[in-house]
Amino acid sequence: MVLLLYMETSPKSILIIEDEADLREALKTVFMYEEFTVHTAPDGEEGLKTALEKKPDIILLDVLMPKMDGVTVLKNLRADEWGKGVKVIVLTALDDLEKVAEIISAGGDDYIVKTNITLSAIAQKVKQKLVA
Amino acid sequence: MHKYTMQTALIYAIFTGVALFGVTFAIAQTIDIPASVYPILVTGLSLFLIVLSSVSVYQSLRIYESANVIAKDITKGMVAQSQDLFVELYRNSPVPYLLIDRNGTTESVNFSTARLFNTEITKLEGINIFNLIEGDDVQKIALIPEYFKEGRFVNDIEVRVHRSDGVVRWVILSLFSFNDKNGNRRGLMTLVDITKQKQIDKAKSEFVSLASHQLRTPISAMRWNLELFSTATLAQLNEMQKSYILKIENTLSRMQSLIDDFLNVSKLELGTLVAQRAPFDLTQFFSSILDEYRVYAQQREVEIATNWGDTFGEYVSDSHLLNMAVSNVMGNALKYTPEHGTVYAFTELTDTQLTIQIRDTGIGIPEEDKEMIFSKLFRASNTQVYGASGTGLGLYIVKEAIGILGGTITFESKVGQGTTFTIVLPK
Repeated sequence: MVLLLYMETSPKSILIIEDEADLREALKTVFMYEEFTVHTAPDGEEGLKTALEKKPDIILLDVLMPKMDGVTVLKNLRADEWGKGVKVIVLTALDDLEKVAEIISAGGDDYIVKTNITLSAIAQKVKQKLVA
Repeated sequence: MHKYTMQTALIYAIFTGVALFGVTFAIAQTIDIPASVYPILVTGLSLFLIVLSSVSVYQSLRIYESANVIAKDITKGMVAQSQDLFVELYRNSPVPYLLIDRNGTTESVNFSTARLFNTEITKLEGINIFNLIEGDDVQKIALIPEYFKEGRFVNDIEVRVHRSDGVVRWVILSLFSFNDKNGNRRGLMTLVDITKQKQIDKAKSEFVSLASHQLRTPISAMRWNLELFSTATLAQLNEMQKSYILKIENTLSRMQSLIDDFLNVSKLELGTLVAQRAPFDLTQFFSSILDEYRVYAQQREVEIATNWGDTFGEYVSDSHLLNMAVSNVMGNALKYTPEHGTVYAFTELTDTQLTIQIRDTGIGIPEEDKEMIFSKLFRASNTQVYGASGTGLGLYIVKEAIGILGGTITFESKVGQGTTFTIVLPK
């Protein structure tokens, strides 16, 4: 019971892996409003490192990034003992829709088309995923 | 020819002689000469005149005949010369020409054709040209031999030809058919190389694609930051300030949909927009389109009458492409329907096909514009008068997207009464 209470009230942590600083900062702000512990990374390589180190509850992962792309990060995560269970929502531009099948098969839990969604809708989706 | 000249001369001479005999006889009677001399004089004079006139007629006919022969010689020479000229023009024309028989077998080709195929003329003769042609519009290309056999002209079809060295060239094919002296169907084909233009076109499309793509991230950043700003401060803003925020939001949305259009067009042109078929829930598909337009319809005071709230079940297609098409037609219907009008949207899914019909009570499409409405950048003449903004890309995207999905789109329209678009897709 105490453990359950602890789980419900403990702040959730999120890792935002996004190379565009303006988008990353906006996402960071909205999840800080939502009282998440927020970690960020500007590219895939650093994102993977941060994920394995900080072990967040959920990861927002961009697809097109320098150094290491989102799909590779996802594959690496799913190969890790901890990483195979973490929830990952992939952020994609509309053009990457062709990649959706690849993302899902690489182990993405869901995807968000970045250009077509509000920040509050993203926050909503993340919270829903954490409950599910 | 000479025989006729002689005969004609004699006939002329006899007639002239008889006539002169008569005249001489008449003159002789009026003057006083002895009766014994009279017949001799008349006969002699007549014979002299007959001989004289025969000679002169013969001479003039000879002159006429030689003039005729000379004229014919000149014409013959000119024909021969112009034939040579035409052969030379055909052989050396910068346009690749191919002369084909009724089955499409090449009888002769010119130097340009050989250059196009990077081979020798002889290697291109006696082969079936229709086997060397391919293109994106397979159905249209398959019709070329049939059109040719029926004697119809084929104009400006973009096709690809494979060279012997494996290089692919884009050409514009035209085919003119005719019957030769023996009544055999033959054809003159031209293949104008447009590979360079295609490359330039591709570079342009790639640039538009890249530029649009690059513009999306800053737009997303603006929208998200604007959202953060309004969330934090909306309570403290006065009505005027709130209306400014709303205007910025709307403008950003418009800018984003314009960029989406540009991106889609460039993808269609680059041929990178291919159908990714997967099963999806049609019920949810239509309800999300309704959600997308509900507020807009309310703003415009246009009613939506629809069966899109019904349950349709699962359908296999590319939902992204289908959404692009249906949502565009729906948006147009709402945009071009004046206040208090109605947009009717109906869907029927049978065992064989999916039919989506969107009817509006809008401004309609003028008769003279009907042929053009699916063309890129075309806007019907009454849209400007009506005052609706647009790029003229929407229906082009719709038509192409439906084409990629293997469907058809048709419409009926009357100015001032409205338009009905019908999309039919295979099940």
